[in-house]
Amino acid sequence: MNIPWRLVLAHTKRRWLRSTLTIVSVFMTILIFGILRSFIVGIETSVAEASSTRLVSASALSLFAHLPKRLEGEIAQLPGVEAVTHWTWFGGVYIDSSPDHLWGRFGVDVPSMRKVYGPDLILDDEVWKRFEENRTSCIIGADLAKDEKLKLGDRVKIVGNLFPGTVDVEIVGIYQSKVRSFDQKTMFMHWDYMNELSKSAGGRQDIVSTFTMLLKDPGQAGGLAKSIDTNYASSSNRTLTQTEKMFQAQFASMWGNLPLFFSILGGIVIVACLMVTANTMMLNARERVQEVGILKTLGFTPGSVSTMALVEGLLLCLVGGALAMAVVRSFDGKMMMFTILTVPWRTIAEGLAIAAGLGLLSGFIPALLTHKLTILDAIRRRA
Amino acid sequence: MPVPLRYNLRSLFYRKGATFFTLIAVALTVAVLAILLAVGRGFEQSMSLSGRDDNLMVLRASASSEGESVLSREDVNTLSGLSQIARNAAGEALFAAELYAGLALERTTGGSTNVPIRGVSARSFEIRDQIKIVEGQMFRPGSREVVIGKNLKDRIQGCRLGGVVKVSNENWQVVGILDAGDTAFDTEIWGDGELLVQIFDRTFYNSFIFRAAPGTDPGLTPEKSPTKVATGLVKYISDRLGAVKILSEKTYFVDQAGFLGGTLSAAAIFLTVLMSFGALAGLFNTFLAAVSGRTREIGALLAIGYRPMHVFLGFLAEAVLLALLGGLLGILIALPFNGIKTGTTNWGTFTEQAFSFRVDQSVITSAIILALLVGLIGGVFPALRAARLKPVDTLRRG
Amino acid sequence: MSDHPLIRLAGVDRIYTRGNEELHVLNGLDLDIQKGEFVALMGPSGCGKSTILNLMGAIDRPNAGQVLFDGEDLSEMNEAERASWRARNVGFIFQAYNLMPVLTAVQNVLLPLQLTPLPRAKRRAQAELALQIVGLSERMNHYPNQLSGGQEQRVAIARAIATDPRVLLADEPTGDLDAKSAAAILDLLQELNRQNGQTIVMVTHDPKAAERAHRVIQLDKGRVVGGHAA
Repeated sequence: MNIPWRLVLAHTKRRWLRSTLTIVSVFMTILIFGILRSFIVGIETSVAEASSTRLVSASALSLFAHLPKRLEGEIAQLPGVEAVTHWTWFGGVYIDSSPDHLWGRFGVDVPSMRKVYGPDLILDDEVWKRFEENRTSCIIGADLAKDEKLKLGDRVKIVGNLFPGTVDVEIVGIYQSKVRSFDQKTMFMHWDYMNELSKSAGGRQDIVSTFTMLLKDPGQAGGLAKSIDTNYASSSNRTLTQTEKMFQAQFASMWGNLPLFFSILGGIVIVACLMVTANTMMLNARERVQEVGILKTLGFTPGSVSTMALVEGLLLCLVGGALAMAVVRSFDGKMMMFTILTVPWRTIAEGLAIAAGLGLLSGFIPALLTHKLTILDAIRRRA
Repeated sequence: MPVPLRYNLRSLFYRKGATFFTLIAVALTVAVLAILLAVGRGFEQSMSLSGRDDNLMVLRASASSEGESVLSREDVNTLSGLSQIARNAAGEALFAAELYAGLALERTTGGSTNVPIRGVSARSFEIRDQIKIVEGQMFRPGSREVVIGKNLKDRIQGCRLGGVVKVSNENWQVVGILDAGDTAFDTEIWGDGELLVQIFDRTFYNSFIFRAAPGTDPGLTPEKSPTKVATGLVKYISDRLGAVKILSEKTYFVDQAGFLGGTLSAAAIFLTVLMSFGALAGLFNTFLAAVSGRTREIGALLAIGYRPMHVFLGFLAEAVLLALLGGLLGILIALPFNGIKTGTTNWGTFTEQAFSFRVDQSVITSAIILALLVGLIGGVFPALRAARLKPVDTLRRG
Repeated sequence: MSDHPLIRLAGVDRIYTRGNEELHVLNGLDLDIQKGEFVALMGPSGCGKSTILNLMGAIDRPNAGQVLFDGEDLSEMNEAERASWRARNVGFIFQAYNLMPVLTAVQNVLLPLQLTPLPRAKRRAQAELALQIVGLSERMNHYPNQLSGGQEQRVAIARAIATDPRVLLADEPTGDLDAKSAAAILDLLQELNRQNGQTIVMVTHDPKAAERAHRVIQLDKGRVVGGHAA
């Protein structure tokens, strides 16, 4: 098919303001799509990449409730358990209680944490050792270090609330995570230290938020979870044991229908953008009636002339879409609202496909009109 | 001033395609803004109406929400002796020590959430006098019964009259539904405080709330005090129980709205700014094309004696009118959302927060202002270009 | 002359309908154009002379009768076939030049060449040659609005002859030009006809233009009412 490419390009350049505005509109739209999508994919990925071979036990009552630390020994003795570690949500206030400083801080047991979670983290043996040996030290995620401008050797002070007392710990390590289910915006310190602090301030003691079990045989996960929960079913410490994947899924589902809500808004944004691009293409077509007549007179077929209209729309939209997805791609791995923005190639392909769809749809009617326009009509309309 | 308004008005209807596309683009932009604002408003409203100014809450100084505050039984005993607590007609002091926690429950639409559960005492209802039991009855003190907020009804599994919610390993009966006027309490489950403290295996309460006697000065925490030393009631209590803060129930809920409210308004601003650009571009393109397509007509207007200012105002009016029509259409699109209930987790407290979309006057005003701005900004440049045309050029061209 | 004419219109009717009104533009018209001829079509406005040109160039179809080009019936082809037929056989010249304002002179001339199977370099050479023939080598890279009316029409002629078409169809080529430019354009057409044997059919109502043709055909109300050799 013969398409006068140079003419397509010349037009885009000639109406540069209109072309630019259209490109930027598509850019904004695909940017919105990309960010919303990478947020939703981020939530999904945090579940998908979570381990289904580790088990997490928490109080069946609620996230707010705790389990006694002494269960650790009992669980460790169950057949099939390779290692047990525990995490305890410290809460507290770092600087102030604004959302900016609202990140996770947990008390952990370092040697067992290293055994259970070590493979998910990038942290030197040397650093693990320093962390283990220093009771008032902590490690923080790379994103947390960046956002709070913290570096090795800095001291972090957190005023407790759930557990009274002010923790004051030194940063001995900054970890990076190999999986999207483990965020890089959390602080880990010694549970012993925070427990003792709380005890001496008359606060709660010897409790933990969750136990995590590393299994000898991942196939046993279901049976083991059941046996733990049955074990404590009638005690005051009823447990809920599930795979880490399901534990994460529970957090993901806490968003409720907010992701759906944002998806609907994203859809409306795309339709609004279609109006802008379709308008551009219609305005272009209206101005080029005479030109279409000339091209057809010269011997360009109706097919190639109408393809020209389609191609122009496609070109504008794809440029806008590609620029937007390039920006979105650079957000990959950043934290937004407790979620690691995740931009796989599939999302980029989706963004480009939407841009292409916008281009084709908006070029469709002009292309059809162009196809049908007879030379005589084109010449007559000019007169 | 003789602006050629009729001419501009007719032009809008003459160029149907471009007018339609631009109208819809503006309408959808305004609709998205209005819907987002409606969520934010609904949420803020539910929080800001939640508390009374003269109900004062005592929390640990470092707690940013009830769930993070810890008050022992002795603390509560000390607090209940405060002279600043108002009394009811029967002479009983209006105070309550309460437990606040999240209860892991399933949404009816799937997925779990943490529904706030409040362990209350005899005076809790009297202190929040806006709350009414609208269906069923009050729970009987000491029994495994709860009343639920109306916004939980049918959204959370078991949350209906006669339903059952699981508290630890026990089934608690839902015996009543409370209506707190679309406030935060409408998302809460209320049960007997004494019993819940035992079930949660606790030795403490979370908050202490009391109706303040007239003229009570809560005092200031050290951070807020100009002298950096606590004052008034805050000082009095802190000296005895350790650092506390005292805030009105109303202030407390407004503060709690901050996190989710901030997220929502950031999303609203972000989406609106990006989207408005599209609407602006649409308007701009349409009117620039209109100006160049109507060069001869503008020339004719100028030739018969209209002045550039008239042409400018005419085109600007055309753009603003189109944008306003789009804005009205956008509000119409957003209106059906009014009253829809939704819920999500307030990550500040990690608990479920239900609220209704509220398309109220302030939302509509913002929507119209956005439409007006889009019209003015999108119309001014094309209108300028139209006004700058010279009659000689316009008549000679094409 | 060959045994059959290059273009033959036989019993051609062309009726336009506007609303309920039927406009009989051509009524059983018969007309032959021989190869190498320079023919001028004259007549009052609305006599159907432009319609004849449109039929010969396959941008319009007759309601009855045949349009034969080198013995081939044009009305039997579909739109796409007619388009490529036009690209191979016809060069159009319009009163309003009809250049693409967004393209330079040489880019305008290259436009129809794109439809030929010629390789890229050859197309470029052909376009430059065409511009040289019309005397505009110096202004190859000018845009139409940087050229005078006469120069624009020259570019249009270059575009028409670039593909070496078998007939040039010119619709009032001097209609928008001053006398001097018009004369120059007519010189150019005459030269193309004399030197290269280019067949030309030209619609005009300017007797001075018609003088340049071999044959003048007078039309009125869709019929040939007279004709003479110029």
